[in-house]
Amino acid sequence: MIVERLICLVWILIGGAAASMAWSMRLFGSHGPDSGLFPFVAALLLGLCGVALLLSPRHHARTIGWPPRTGVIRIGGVIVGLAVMTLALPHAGFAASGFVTMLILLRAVERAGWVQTLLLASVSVAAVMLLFGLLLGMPLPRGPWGV
Amino acid sequence: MDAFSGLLLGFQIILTPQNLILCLVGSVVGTLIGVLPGIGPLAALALLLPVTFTLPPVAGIVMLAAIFYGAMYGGSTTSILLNMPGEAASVVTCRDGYQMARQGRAGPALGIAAIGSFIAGTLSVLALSFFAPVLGGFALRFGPPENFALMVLGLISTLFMISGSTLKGLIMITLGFLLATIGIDVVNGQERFTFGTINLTGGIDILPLVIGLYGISEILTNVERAMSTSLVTSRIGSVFPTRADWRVSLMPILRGSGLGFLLGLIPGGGPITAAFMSYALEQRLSPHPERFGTGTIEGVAGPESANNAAVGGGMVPVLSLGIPGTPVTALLLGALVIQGIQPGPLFMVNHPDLFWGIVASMYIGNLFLLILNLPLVGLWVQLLRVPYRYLFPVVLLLSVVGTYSANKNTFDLWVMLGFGVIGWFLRKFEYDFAPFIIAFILAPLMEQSLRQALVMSRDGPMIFLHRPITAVLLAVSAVLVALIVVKPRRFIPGGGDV
Repeated sequence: MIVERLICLVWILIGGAAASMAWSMRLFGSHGPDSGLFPFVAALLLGLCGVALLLSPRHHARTIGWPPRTGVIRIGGVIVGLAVMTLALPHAGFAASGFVTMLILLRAVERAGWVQTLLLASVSVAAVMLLFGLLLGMPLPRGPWGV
Repeated sequence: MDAFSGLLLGFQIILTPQNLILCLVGSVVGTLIGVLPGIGPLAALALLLPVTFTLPPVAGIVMLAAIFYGAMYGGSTTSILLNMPGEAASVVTCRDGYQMARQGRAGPALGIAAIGSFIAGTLSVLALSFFAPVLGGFALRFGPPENFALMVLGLISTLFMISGSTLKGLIMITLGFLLATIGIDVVNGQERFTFGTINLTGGIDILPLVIGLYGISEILTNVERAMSTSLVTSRIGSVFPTRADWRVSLMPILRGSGLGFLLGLIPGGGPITAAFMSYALEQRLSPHPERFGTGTIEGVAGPESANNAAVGGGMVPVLSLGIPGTPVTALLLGALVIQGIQPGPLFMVNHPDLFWGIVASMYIGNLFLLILNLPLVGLWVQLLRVPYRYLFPVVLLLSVVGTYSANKNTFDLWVMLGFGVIGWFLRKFEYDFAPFIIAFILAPLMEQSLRQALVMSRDGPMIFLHRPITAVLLAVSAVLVALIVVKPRRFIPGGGDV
């Protein structure tokens, strides 16, 4: 399968590039092994394994279960939700970014009703803040409005 | 220190209100994780790892260990009632457990799973108490070359037990090594693979890696298709097995305990392999093998005992040698390192309070779990009614909080998301992440041992052949590699994930 072969090529490329960078770090110094030795060996092995995998189809996956179109949209929704939260977290704080992420996930990905969405988003954000922020004493990022 | 005085010390340490509460919290969280499908013990451990930073080492590790063995208990409930494993080690329990539930025998199935887990868990901790000090004492003779050879053997053994291709497993190991070398080399301060980015100078943190690969990628896989479940809602009834049930279950429980403990000792063995091997063994020994898969109680008792016994067995190499056999024990090892404790043969000598505290907590934790899983089983059944579509957004929130709270750095969140997507993609091509996580955690210790060994050698790499223990360990590794190359390995479904 073409995608599997492309993955093998990625391993070969990563292995080759990492080996070349590790070589430039020096493998041996005046006192023995240097910074490059261990990553060089690992990178070399990675590249060789990539070549071996490329040449031996019996190691390839038998069937690949790609998701249907709706599945791709749902996966996309989860990734977008997480990306939005990552971008918003330092600026808007946990409460606001968490709430918006929950709205995206429940409305766009799960097609939940507005009442369910708002209720679950509020309860889960409050529960996480209570558990992590208050009970476990882990300070969560705060937004401009103090939460 | 002998085992009896060690255990006495351990109980003195664990029987404090704080440690008991944390052991209970770990047991409850572990059971919860085991019961709820879609989040495994590894992701849960990673999520709660930042919580342990502020706790004393004993308290933190006791809680994390309790989550691990708690998940083994809880996983059976989902397998029996939903025909869907709560965690990977309970996959095999679905076969007979769910059939028993459909025949109105959910109670005895849940009961024998909990009691078998308790017996096996207790027996394996008993074996751990006596076996780990002996192994640790022997390992005191080990220097850097022996440690390096031992880690090589551990990683190669892992390849034997993974699901899918061993070549892909080897690729995962080398990737784990490479990723672990990112950051500043502690020996000479040289930057490696940082590309001038300040975020990479400290290396890649284990938390976003584990949460991404095991938490986010699992969620992405699950949301591909709307999940439909069929909870057996008929009354569970008495959870206590009948005398007839006991008669046929006792020997599978004892055999599962022994088999599970032994397989737990082997790197890569772990709870999943133990459960599958136990099922196969019971089927082979049964006078009615054709009944397996139709709701026979031995098909629940053996595997459930074996997966719990493997937890105790898996703790032996971690606590006595500093060698993890599974990603979960690798993460426990990582937690020790974060707490500033150097794992390895000297761990028992330098930190007897921690070693015996963990061992003693496992006796107490097993007792907690028996109570949580027998009289309170109804509570966990209610949780199974929560649809996955409402559950996963909450798990995602927890993943973000767990990842962010460790370093207060959004870069970690991008790493988590990136590895989540890569993990989802690689799962499609049957890549197993267990060797990757183990290699990532072992790499710094392995590199340090390799460098120290080569510095102390006058003949370069020949030092690995001149020292008898090292030569034997490497010879065994070579034999295993030869076996992998020459003889195709038997496929172990889902092997190696926990």
